[in-house]
Amino acid sequence: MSLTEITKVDQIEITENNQIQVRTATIILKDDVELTRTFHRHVLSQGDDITNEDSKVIAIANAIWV
Amino acid sequence: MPLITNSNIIAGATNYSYVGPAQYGGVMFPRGQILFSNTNTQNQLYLSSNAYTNAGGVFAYRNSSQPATYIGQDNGGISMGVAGNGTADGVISWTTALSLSTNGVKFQNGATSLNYYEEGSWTPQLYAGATAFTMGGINAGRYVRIGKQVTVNGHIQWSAGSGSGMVRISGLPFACTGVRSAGSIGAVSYGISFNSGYNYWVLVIDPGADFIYIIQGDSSGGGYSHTPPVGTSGIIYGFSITYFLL
Repeated sequence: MSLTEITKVDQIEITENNQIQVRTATIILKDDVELTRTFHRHVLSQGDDITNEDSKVIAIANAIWV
Repeated sequence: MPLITNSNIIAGATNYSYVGPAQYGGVMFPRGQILFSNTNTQNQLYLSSNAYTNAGGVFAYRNSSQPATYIGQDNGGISMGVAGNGTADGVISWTTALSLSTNGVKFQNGATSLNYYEEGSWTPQLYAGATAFTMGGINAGRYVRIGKQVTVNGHIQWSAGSGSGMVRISGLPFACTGVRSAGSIGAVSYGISFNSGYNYWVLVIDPGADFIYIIQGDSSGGGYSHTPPVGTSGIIYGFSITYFLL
């Protein structure tokens, strides 16, 4: 039996004000079968530091924050 | 065509008087318990209680002394219907108590579908002006979103930083895209205090904002201020605010 924890950005939304809503999922797998999935969220507005964000979030921010 | 006699299960066309849509090919429990049918327009599935179909495929009462219920699949949706007592063998006037479609869940008395439920965590971040304080170990936030309504709560601990200006909590799970909303603080342990003339706290989210203002107010009508003094460390035990999305 092996337990694995995966964290990934599983949802990215853009509001009409060009804010980026990011959902990060933490997934616990037992022998590659998902046991639990919990969410953490944050919102990025234009001007926020995106240095440590997911690469997809950075790409979106660079595209819409012009 | 194979069938189980005594009118319990019928496959395809039969001589049973209440076959209904099953005449197009299907399996029917003619007392109205389970009906799979393939009408000339669509596939249908009904699970019903105290109901059966007449020759036209319309639900009718089986027993006037009891209400009837059904769970039905129709045109890609699922609906649950109820009906009160009525005349035996009379046409049932169903009330859809709950329906599920690509628009979400709709309740009997609601005009809007519920299409979103989510719960999770977020990380409150205290600011005074442009200063982001270093947050402490018990700093935490939780959220629940039900449809367009978001409720967030949490507690705040900060351990280092120095700044002044508008005091706010950033890090919300969703930006507020609805109207302005207000919330409350549980207890300030230390670290943030009133300027002279102010005596209560209120939390406010503005439309379009992804943060909460911590505002000090004057209960005697002296107005409010966004700039209470903030110390280099502090704890706020509990806060909560509900806001809405468009």
